[in-house]
Amino acid sequence: MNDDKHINESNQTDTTQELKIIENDHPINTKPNLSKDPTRTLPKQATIMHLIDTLLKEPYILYNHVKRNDLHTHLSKLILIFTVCVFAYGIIVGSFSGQIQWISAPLKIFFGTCLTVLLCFPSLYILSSLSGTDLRPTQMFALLCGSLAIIGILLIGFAPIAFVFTFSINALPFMGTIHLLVWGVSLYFGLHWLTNGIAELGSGNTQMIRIWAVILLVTLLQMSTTLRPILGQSDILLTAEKKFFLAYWFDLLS
Amino acid sequence: MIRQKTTNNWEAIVREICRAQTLRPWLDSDSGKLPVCLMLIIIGGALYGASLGIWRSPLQAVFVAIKFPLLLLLTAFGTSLINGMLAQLLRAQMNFYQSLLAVLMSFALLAILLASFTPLIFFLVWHLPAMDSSGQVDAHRIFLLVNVAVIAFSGTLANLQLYHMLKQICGTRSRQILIAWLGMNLFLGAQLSWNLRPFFGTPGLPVTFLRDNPFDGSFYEAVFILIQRSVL
Repeated sequence: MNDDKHINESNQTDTTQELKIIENDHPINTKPNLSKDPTRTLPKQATIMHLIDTLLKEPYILYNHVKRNDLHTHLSKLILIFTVCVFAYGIIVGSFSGQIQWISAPLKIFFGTCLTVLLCFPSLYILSSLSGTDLRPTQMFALLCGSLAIIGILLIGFAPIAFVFTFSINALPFMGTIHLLVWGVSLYFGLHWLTNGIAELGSGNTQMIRIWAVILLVTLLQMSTTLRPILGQSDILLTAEKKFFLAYWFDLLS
Repeated sequence: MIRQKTTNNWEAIVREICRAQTLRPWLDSDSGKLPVCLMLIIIGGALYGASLGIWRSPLQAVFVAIKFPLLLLLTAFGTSLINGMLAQLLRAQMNFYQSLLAVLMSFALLAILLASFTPLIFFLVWHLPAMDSSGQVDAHRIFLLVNVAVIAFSGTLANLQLYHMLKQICGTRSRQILIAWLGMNLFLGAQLSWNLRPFFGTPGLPVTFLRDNPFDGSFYEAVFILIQRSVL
């Protein structure tokens, strides 16, 4: 009787452990945890493909680098990933109208995103410090570069879909909506990566970072309006008329 | 090497002010905390002040870069005596100097926060219709609204941080002390901002450091007259 009880208890423990393993391996529960292996790092000679793999599957390795303040060895690669991916996606955006947009759309998207991130960086640093993160500005910048690389990778992932829509859709507002959706999803995952990193390296309070994400989003939308036309046809490179993005969208839809 | 050390210290000070958990010992061990707060208020306030005045004209930006930190400092020092007294009346374990340092810390945090939003305010100014254009009235209104939101957000965060620090020192009395200090700071701050106006620069009025007769009238009289005219 006692043996039966022991076996039952043992089975129950096994099942619980099994469940825990399944839980940890489940893609939804991939919250990075430095305690997994805080010593794991990327070799200096890691290839770009290796870095992309780590960004997507094992972000905590990069968080380890940020914690040690030695991500600068891979920083140039992260920036390169973002640059190449955004330029490639920009070419697809430009292909909707062709002509000058083949060149101007990628340039505008790349420089517009970089300028927006630089404008919002001081507020990110102060708001993350307020939420209890003890990171130096260089560490925060490295973390931000990682999240930009994620955004770039996802944009490339969406590129074939956007390409198909580019040659199917004729109406500018619909094409604009598709691109906004693609950017929205990519931004969501990029910011999620950043928020997770800040939570892992700081106090775990990410409320301020969510507020910052709204500020970044509004600034990005305004930047896209400032640098218009990005998608539509035009003889001019930039519009002199100043407009808020909401007013511009209403005008476009009406 | 020395330069790097100084930079690291400044970074560490900014991060320390941003974290409420570490503020209690920060207030106890005085090793040049007052000049640090003053420097942060002056630099942060000047940066944000410049962004406030730049829409009107570059000269207005220079004027407001001087006036904005001045407003913060005059408010903090003007209320330091009564704030210290109120803290002691409400049985806070703080002396006059510490209560001044606590208020200055929250103002320094406000200045840091406002300074961190300065690039975004410049970005907004870049998008606003120019001062001499037909849309100047709308632009002035939008600029006012956005800055009120930014100041309100930063002010709330700075006061929350002050509240967390007071909670570590005074426990249950912290809320009363915060409300008393806030009341004093707002009471004097509103009047000083009236005396030191213009900050944003009203379209149509000339650019000046102070209005003609800056000490003629008060903020509260103006509000009273406004209510009187609206109701009666």
